[in-house]
Amino acid sequence: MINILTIIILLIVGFTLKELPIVSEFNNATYALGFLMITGYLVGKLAKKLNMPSITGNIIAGIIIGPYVLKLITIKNVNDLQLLNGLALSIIALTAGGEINFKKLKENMKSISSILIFQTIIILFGFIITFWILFELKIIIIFNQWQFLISSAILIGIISTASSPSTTLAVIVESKVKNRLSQLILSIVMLKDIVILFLFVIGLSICESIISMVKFKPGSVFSIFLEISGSLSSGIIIGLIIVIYLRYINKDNIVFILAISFFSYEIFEPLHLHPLLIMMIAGFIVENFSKEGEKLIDALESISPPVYVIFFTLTGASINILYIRELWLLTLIIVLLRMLFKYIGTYIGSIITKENDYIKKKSWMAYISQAGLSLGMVKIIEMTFPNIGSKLAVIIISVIIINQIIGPLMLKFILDKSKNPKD
Amino acid sequence: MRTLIAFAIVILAGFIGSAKLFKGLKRATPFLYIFYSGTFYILFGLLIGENGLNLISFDILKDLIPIINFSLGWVGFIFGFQIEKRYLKKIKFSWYFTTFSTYLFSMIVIFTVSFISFFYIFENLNFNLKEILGISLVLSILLSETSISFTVWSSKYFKKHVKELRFLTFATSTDNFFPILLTGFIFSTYKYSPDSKSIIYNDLFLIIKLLILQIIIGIISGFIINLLVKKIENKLEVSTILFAFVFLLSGISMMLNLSPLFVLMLTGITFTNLTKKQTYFLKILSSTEKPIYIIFLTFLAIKRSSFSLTLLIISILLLISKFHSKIISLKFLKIFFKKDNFISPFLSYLLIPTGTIAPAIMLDIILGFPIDKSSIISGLLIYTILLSEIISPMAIKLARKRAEND
Repeated sequence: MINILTIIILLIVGFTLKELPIVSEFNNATYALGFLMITGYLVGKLAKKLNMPSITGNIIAGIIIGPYVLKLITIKNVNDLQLLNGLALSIIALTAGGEINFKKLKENMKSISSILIFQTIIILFGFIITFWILFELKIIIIFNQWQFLISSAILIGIISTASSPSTTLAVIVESKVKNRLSQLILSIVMLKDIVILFLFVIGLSICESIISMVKFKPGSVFSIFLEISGSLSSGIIIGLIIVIYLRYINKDNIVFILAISFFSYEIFEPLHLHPLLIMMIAGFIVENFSKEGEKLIDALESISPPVYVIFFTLTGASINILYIRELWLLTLIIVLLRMLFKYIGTYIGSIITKENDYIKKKSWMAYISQAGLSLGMVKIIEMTFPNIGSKLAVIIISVIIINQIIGPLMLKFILDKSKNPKD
Repeated sequence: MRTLIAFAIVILAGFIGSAKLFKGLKRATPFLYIFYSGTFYILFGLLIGENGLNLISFDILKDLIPIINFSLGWVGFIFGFQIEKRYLKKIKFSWYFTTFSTYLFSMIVIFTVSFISFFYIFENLNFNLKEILGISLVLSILLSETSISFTVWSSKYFKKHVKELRFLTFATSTDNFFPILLTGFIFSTYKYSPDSKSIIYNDLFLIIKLLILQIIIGIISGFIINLLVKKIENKLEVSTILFAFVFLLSGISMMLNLSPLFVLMLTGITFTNLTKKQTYFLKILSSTEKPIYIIFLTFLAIKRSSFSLTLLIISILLLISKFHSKIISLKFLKIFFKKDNFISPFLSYLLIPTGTIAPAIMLDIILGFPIDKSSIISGLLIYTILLSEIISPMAIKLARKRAEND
């Protein structure tokens, strides 16, 4: 009751401040952050009561109070808070790396690679073939040339392969499930990010060649290789710095983790390295190659709840829900197709490595959520292809919005079920 | 971008440096207080800031204003949280009276000295009467305050004077209340106009209205926080709510040109007197105090402040007047409360350094009233803090001599 009452009070305060003439600067980031945190937290709590993951509540709260619905938070607020977004992302990645156990990763490597490969192939070719059929049947008419259609199918296929590591981790941490399934899911989602980065660069070059009839550029693949190897080495260095600090200084570890996460994001992102990968590797190094893993996890656990609330509510606030209105039918078709291909890919991958029935039939649900990386790729597509980029962006963003709302629900569902193997 | 990296380096270097340094300071000497205090961070900030190598400019750091704004509110909340009725009831009236009157007397003396300095001696600084009154008021509020960390640091040298030290700890930890309260008053009295980039003086009715508004926001928020955290057992969830409210209230204060320090102090006071989980909350709150202080000092030193021989002389004058005002008031009060035997003039030496609240209030004022002339106050404050911290080892030695003679 008090939660609902507080939400009502907050809404009244929000609307009053928005309309108040004496407020000189409504675009106040501190206020926006507090507002996002409290509403995100309270709606997250309500979601939890309805047996939904709290991050779904955080995202919904962000969408509602954000710049596209109630407008209690402005676009400028959301942009101003990107600094914290980066920090939150680094912390989430560090936690994710710390959660991956090297021994278990080695044990499950066959299943991980098999599911990963088949999901990627099925989704990619599934989209190309389906789009071609729909084009021939004249169901898809927004892309009037075959070059545009194939390029769109390739790019949608690649982006559809991606899942959100941050969402996956947040739901796993919240559900407190620590079993083989959660390890498998987390490892696949993390490794998939690296695979997709490669695929995306290759796909982008192929599409450029198809549309502009220019030659395929193998150099861009090399540059992405450099980016990834640079990120891996930076991750190892950051990991070692954390180990040294935790071993020899071991004081105010929370502040240190916050500082190094902030520092890493701000320094590596402009260098075109991947902060997510760097921090993940750093966490992995601390957890698996030192005795300081427990200290790191302790520090991370003490800061993770506010970090998750900030990150996911902010994610919600940056989602323009109005996109869905424009091409809702195609969006729906892609969402359903993606689910189907994920199911088939996971099923075949699991059959080859003789996984149990639960992983074979249900684990595809864990890979539905989409967020940061996918949205980043959309921006690149929009800039690279002026002729089809904006249309594609509307479709892909709409798909991501739906996936990010239903994804956490589906993941929580299978994790909860996995607690009781009889179900 | 470059500045953000630089800022991260500053905080990281400063933090690691201090963490490592404090480990090695088990066998402390009075001289080592310089390292324990904020001197290192001020010098570091001056070196990399607008007055030094200009690696970081305050303007580009605007992205980090939400963090400063939050930190101000957080400091206010931490302070307010320690004002618990059931403990305060146990304190004798004489202790309250001595703390209050020592602060007030210092404030009057510093105000007078500052006023005379700016009005009569250093006319060349070209201030009008209203500006001199404003600057003197702010300086007197800031510099009358004392440092609890210095009291803790120096306590090991005065083991025989238990009663006096107990009072000193009380006085240095509670006299922060007055400057925060007065900051609330300043924010009600003056208003910054972004259009004319000048300070406007509110009328009496508006002053009262704004004071009441700050009090209402602070108290109601304390009640809401208590209701929200009452049934929550998970400590991390509680931290989320606390952080969120401090962000929200600091932001609202800034938007309405109110003082986050004052508003959040009231929230802290209300909350602490309603909740039963003080021990847990204090653990969360106190661990954040040191890094926030580091951020404040570094930020303050980064901002381009006015530095000149004139200002150095004024700051020396102000420091001398602070010391003498403390010694005079303590001497007088010793006669007044002779029976209680908790006052000794040697305490006045230990009241010289300025505490953590002064830089916080200065930042609060810089953010609330971003006019060029605030750089003069910040310059003076930096000078005075530096001087007081440099002479603090000597102050301990002199206080020891005086204590032996007494």
